[in-house]
Amino acid sequence: MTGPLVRLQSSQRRVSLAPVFEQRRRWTASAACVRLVQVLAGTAVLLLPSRHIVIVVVLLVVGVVAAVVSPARNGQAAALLGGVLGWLFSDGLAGSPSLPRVLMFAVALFVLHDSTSLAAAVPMTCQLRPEAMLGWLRRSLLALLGAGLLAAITLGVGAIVQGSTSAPLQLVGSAGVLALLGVTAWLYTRSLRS
Amino acid sequence: VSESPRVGWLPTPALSSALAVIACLPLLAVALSRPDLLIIALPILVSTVIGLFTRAYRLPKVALEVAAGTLLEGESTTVRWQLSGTEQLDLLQLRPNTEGWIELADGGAQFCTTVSPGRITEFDFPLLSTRWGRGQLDRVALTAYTAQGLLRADASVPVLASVRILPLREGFTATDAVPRAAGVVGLHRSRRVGDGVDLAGVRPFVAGDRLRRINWPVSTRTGQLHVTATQSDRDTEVVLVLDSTVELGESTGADGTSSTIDLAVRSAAAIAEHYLRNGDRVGVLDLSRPGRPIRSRSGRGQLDVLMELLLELRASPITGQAVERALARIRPNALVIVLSPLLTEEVATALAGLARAGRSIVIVDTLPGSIELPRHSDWTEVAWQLQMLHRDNLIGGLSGHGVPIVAWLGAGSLDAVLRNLSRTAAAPRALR
Repeated sequence: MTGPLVRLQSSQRRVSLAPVFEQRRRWTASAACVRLVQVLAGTAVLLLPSRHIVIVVVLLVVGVVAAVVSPARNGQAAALLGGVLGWLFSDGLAGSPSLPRVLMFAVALFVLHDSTSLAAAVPMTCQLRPEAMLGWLRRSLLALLGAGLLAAITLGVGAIVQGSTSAPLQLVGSAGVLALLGVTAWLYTRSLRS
Repeated sequence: VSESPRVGWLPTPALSSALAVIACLPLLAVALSRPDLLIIALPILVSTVIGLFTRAYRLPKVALEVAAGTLLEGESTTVRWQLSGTEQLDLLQLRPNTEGWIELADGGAQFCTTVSPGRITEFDFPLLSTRWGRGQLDRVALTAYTAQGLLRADASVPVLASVRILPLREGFTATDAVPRAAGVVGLHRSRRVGDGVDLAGVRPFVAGDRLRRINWPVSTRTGQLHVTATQSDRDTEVVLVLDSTVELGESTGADGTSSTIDLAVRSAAAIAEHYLRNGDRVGVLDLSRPGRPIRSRSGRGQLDVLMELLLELRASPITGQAVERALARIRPNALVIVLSPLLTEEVATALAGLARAGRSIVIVDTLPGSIELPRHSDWTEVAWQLQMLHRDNLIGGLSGHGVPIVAWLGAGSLDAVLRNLSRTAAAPRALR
């Protein structure tokens, strides 16, 4: 005969250490750093337009907060939409903002987009190794350099024509834009095929 | 080493956002004659094009190497990751899955690294053992990002890194007195006269005595040759009987609370190590597996064999008949050390029978001092008190049969009872 409580605990009922794991999890400095860059870029995107529309500002702030808190979801889309709308309406639809502001806004918008992509890949508890961070930065700088080169060409052509309208030039510009869109679409479909 | 297959890549929300910007802003730039919108879209466009053009298709090979395959409870070791791939991966997130009594020392954080073609990425992370037993890293969940985070792929890669965690043995020592020293050589004083160190007496010289044994002072005084007789040193056979028929208490690791089986394993390991170091033969009988006893042997190899058994110890009920049959197979001269919480009548009855048969038995009580009971109803506390009364009865009955019961207190726990057993074994017996 055995006592009433003898077999209450079998070996399968040993206490799991999972709660201890959870308690000891903590945010890492590298992941927090990525979020900080997001916030700074979002702030720049918010402040660079010359005029602010309340609805657009709210959309942008909500988007940035969502992108920081949950970067793997669609907060990034809201942040980018808010930023672009804010820029579009700040000087009116036919406005012509100054070149430094355009460049700074372009860089800020790109950094917001890029840092949110990185944040989506780096959870708060993730230790981002330095070589991964440096590799990411290197590729971002390369993209910025390429974009800067293309921007210089665009602005150079703009300076040559000096505001005069030209039907062939407009056609070439439109064809160039369509070509870029086509290349992107082709790369996108190619990437999904693999 | 594990090679990941070609995996399916999925677009991330970042890709949707980037495509929306790339599609809308240039069109708006043309429609509104605002080149600034095109310039704003350019960095995202260039980044997307470069990313998609140079993207990866395959995941890397993952290899693990554990610095130490055998640990003591609470010790840590280092696991080295080796990642090698043929394509550039922007980010690779690794989430190792541990099983058993090991954990990642930093609380299970994930790791994000990059993989470059033709290069082996290496990094270490500490692995902590929490309790005796086994632990292993069996799988690692990978999330790979390419095209500057625009595409992602998830995979679970099997890896295998096992760690054996030995019970933490307190420094256990015991007196060299054992009830029945037998065998050929050893460190325990036997009752037989022979070559040894301990004095047995002085007796007249007989043919065959060694000359160096002559006791010259006594011989001179008595005028007749006398020799010094010593007791021979022999080894002994120790059989550890593990009562794993029940388990009570929470097992939370070396620094936490212990269950009955934890105490049994740790004390058995310490006792076995002590006697094996002294050259004795030690065997183990696990009552939950009575058909597979570890035969008594000496030497360091035997300690490894015993540890393997201890690491596999699990609670499993057993019938009283099986207990009696298993105990009956123990040799009559062996010192039987039973590690038991003394909660089952089957075991207590069988041990009482063994004691009646004149065997030398010591019971080490493995019931922890404080046990947090799983509360099932209002009657749990009462049931536990009844159980303790039942245990007291069993202990009283065993004591009545002359079986010494001691609590496990580490070094010297068994000294007093071993001396008493030696005296009892050496005492003359009445023959009926």
